[in-house]
Parts: sequence; structure tokens; C-alpha cells
Amino acid sequence: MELKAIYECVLTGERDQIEGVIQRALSAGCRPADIINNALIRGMDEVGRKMKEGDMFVPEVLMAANTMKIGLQAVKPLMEGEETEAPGKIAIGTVSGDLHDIGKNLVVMMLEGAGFKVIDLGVDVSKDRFLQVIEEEKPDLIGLSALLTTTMKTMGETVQAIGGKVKTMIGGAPVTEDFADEIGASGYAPDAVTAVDLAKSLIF
Amino acid sequence: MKDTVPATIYFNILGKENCKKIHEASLTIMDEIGLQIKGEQVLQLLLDHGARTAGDGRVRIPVSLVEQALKAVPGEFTLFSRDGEPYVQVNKDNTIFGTHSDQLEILDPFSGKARKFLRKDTKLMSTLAEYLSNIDFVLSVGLSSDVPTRYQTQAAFIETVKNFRKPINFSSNDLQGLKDVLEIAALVAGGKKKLREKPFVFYYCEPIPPLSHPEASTEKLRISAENGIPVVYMPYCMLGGTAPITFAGALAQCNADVLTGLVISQLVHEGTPYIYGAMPSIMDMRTTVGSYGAPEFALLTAASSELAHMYGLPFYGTAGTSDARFIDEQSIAEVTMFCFAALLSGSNLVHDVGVLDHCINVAPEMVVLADEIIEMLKHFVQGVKVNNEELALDVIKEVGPGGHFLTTENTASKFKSIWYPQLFSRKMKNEDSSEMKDKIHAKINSALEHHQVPSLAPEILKELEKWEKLFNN
Repeated sequence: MELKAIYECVLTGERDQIEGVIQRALSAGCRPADIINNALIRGMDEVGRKMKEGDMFVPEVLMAANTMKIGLQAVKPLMEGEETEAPGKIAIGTVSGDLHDIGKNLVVMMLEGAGFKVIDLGVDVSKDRFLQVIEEEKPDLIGLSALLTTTMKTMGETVQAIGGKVKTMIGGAPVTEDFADEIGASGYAPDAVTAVDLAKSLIF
Repeated sequence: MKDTVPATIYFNILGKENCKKIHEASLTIMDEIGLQIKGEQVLQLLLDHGARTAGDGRVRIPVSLVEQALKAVPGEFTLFSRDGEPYVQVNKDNTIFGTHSDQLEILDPFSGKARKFLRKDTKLMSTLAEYLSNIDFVLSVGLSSDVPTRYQTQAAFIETVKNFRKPINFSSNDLQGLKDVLEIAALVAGGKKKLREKPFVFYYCEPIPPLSHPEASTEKLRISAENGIPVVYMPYCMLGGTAPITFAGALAQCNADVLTGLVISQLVHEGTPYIYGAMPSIMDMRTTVGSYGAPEFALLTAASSELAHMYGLPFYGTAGTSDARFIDEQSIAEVTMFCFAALLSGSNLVHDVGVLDHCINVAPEMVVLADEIIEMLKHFVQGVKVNNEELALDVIKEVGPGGHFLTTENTASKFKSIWYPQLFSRKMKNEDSSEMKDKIHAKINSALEHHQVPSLAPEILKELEKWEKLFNN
């Protein structure tokens, strides 16, 4: 019953309510791991499905993602000692020379909403900066975004520099599946919802 | 000089009052909210003339700078042909349309498939655009997939100028691309001075909404202004994504970005021709696509045209575009709506005709079709003249009740002012299936076979070859 309420809260994006609903669930004896796996994450899975069906729109999805994030923050501190199923850590940025970031920002919010830990490197991220982050943060996946055809070239160089160190996923208006194959990226997503699915499939 | 059809009927979307309100909101954005402006030279120029910076890194531009720029900018200039002949008077009263000479993909008219754009396709696009009477310029972007990135801009421009005599609008991947194209254009024009005096090219660059003018953008503005090349500065913003979801707010923000470009261009070189561009579209919240076919996009583009005209500036509009990938019911509906809106709102340089798949491909067949659609719509926006001759009471008296007008002198001398389509059918007995595709293909083939653009002078070609060696495979 309490888990269902959390799930509904995520689905309707009621970010002001989520903490209260979680508190009630905890008081009723729900385990934090259940709250995460069987309410928050399941809620976002349903949100992703609804978006793909055309039943939910981006602003609603982002509100749900934000609600999920607040929920996670409320539950995580209680997880000590308990086995958590963190989906993974992803570092993401627009490649060197590209300052267009609306698409990347969307992907960041969607990934966070799906429970990933996201390191947002911002715009105009150099090859070396990506390599440094891989070294220091040990992410499970690198996301690269490009809007311009010129920076697609930079994207190729960056993916090549990363090589087999960590898997890469790419996106951006002119980017295609063929291009991903060409430059040796691990995957391509045409939009933010697909990026979440892709991240899951690449990490697990 | 191109005989443009000045629209005699316009629709107003905003009206004077609302234009003024949006203008004031834009000034508030510039003077109080501030913008992100990068590029040392341009920034210094702004600060020297009264703009302010603060701890938040934003630049605030006072009203006085905008007013000065509006006084300095010309409302009219001439674009020339490749051969140095006056081609069109660009002002707020004339409308001309343009397509692309290259794109990411081409909807191949021969295979019917969308595929990567190749350098050789530029010749097809340019020849077609040269041939069609309602297409008066092309946008050379630099997107051919078979050219190294470093030379995409230069290769596209060279291929275009070899096959196109009408004015060329160009953008560039980077500053080097802009500088190189200016060199190449000067070569064709017969020197830098001649290019400045008789520009057959105009440049296209853009900020990154909301309110961000990175160094690459401001430097492009600076270099084109310094060279006296007419420049379009056009924010492409998406409502709900990179602009407010509300129409008036999006227009005000977009206008603030355009006015910022105007101020920069006039500070760099007072009197440099500046073309007001605006693409306020929507972000589709189901797919995150920035739409090229939404009615709101057509509406807000038309409203932006009105804003440009309030300033006395020519407007760089958009039309003939679609979100659909192919020539189908959707793309034809969207293309037509947008062409109609562009003409009724008096947009002046209207780009992107035949660009489909939300700006991924260009479709030669759609360009041919749009040429016909534009011609049709021009006969709508001509309006209705009312005078004694047109009222023709004498003819009505002569024919009288129950008669006919078939044999009157009046009909014989004037019936050709009625439009006769080239592609659209008005057969008494129409065929059993549509002939449209065949007609379009025949027109494309005819353009390719019979409409060869004269070669450039041998000495110019020789110089161009030096460039081409850099990127020939």
C-alpha cells in the first residue's frame, strides 16, 4: 500500500509530497531497499514506458525524475550496510568545441531520474578532461553529445582516445547509429528516454 | 534586377502596441537581466560604449546602444549576382525565397531514398535553384559527408559558386571557413573592394539561445561586419527548451538576442547591412524534436517579421520546411502553410525551402513543388485592385444581363494575368493516377540537361583549383 503510494507519487511528479509519503512508508516498516527498487525505480520505469507510448510529455517526465531524485536522497542515508542496487555512474558532457547543451541537459536529468549517479561535465569538454575523469572517478559509462557536424569529428577523436577504457554512448541531432559504429562508440541513442535504456543495457 | 512581387496584403499578428511591448521587454532583458557575451574584442567594444559587466559575468546593454545601432543600420541594400549585376533590393518590402545548396542528407529524387549528402549533390541543388524562378538564393552550409570537416565550408561554397549565379547565403563551420570563403568570394568578384561594393554573398551566423553569444558567434559577426558583408544573425530557439513556453516571452527573448547582434555589428562597423533573423520554434515535448513544421513556429516567425519591420529591417524568415522525412501529405501541408505565412507576413529573405525531416534532409523534388506553391501564393498576396479600370463597369454594361465575357476585348487583353500552373492539373478529364511525380522529375531532368550555368572565367577556375586540391580525394 505504502509502496504503491510512492510509485504513484513518482508517476504524477509530486515532488512536494514524496518525502512525506516515504516517511509514512518507513514508519509502516517498509525496507529502504524495497522503497528504491519496488517503488521509485519501478515508477520511473513506468514513466519511461509512458513517454515512449506518447502518454507522457517531457515536462511531466522531468517532474517525475525530479521526484525520484528527491526520494532517493531521502532513502539513501538509511541504506548503510544494506545491499544497494545503484545502477551505475555516468560522466557526460558535450564534446570539445560544442556549446549546445539542451540535449545533454535533458539526458542528465533523465539518467538521474533513473537512479544513475551522473557527473555532469558541462559543455566544451576536452578529450583530456574525459580521460582525467575516467581516471579519477572510474565511471561505468561516458556520454558524449554533439550538435554540430564539426564537433562530430571531435566526438570521434574523443571516443577513440577513450578506447576500451570505458564504454561510451553518443547522441545529438546529426549523430546516427552508423556514425556510432564508424567511430567505435558502444552505443547511440536518438533521444533522452532511449539514452536511459541504452545506459542500462551498456552497464548491466 | 529581380522582379519581386511586393505583397499588397499583409496580416498583422502583433499590431503596433504589442510590438512596442515586446520591444520594451527585450530592452529590459538586455539592460537588466543581461546576456552572456564572449569574445574579447567584441566585449571590449561593448564595454567601451556603455555596456556593463557585473560579478555574475553577464553583460548588460543600455537602451542608448540599441537606439544608436537602429539609427546606424541601413534598412535597404542591394544583393548582386555572381557576375556583379544588381540582383535584388533587400528591404522590408520585397520577398524572395531560397533553398539549401547542401544539407546533412538529400532525399534523392532518383532513388526516392534519403541518404548522406555528397559533394556532387551541390551541383544538382545549385543548378535547380538557378533554374527555378521563385528560388532566388541558396544557403551554402558545408555538410557534404565526403569532404574532410576542415574543408566542408570551402568545398560547399566553391561547388555552389561554380553552378549558381544568384546571391549566395553561406554559413561556416568556423572562423577559418568564413575567412576562406571571403577570400574565394573576393576572387570571384574581382577583389575585396569589389566584393564589398557589390556583395553577391551574405553571411549567416547565430547565437545560442537563451541569451548566450559565445566567442565563435561574436567573432563571426565581427569579421563579416569588418568586411562589409551583409550578415544574418538568427537565434533558433525552442519554446519550453531554450525559450519560454509563452509566445510573447519567446519573442521578447529572441528579439533581445537579435538586437544584441545588431548592436555588435554596428559597433564594429557602422552602417554594415544587418538582416534580422529569427526562428522561434517549439520543442515537441513528446519527442524533444525542435519542430520545422509546427503552426506555432510559422506564427511566431511571422510575428518576428513584424518586429523586424517595426525597426525598418529586412527579415530573414523560414518557409517550405517540414518535420516529415518524405514528400507526403504532411510535408506538403506544412510546406504550404509556411510559404503562405511567409508571404502574408512579408518575410523578406525566406530560407530553408525544401528542408525536411526537421532539418536533416533537403528534397529537390520538394523545392520544385514549393516553387509552384510559392507562385500560386504570390497570386493570392497580390490582393485586389479597385479602380475604374478594374471595376470595368463599361464592360459589364456592354455585356449586360445574360451575356458572356468570353469575346470582350477586356478578357482578351487581361486573361493572362490569371495564374496558369505548370505542375498542378486542371484537365477537364483528369488522368486515372497522379502525374505529379513525373512532372516534377521531368522538371529536374530538364534543369540538369538544359540549364547549365556559364563557367566562371578560366583564371578564376584556375585559382579555385588550388583550393580544390586541398580536399579533392
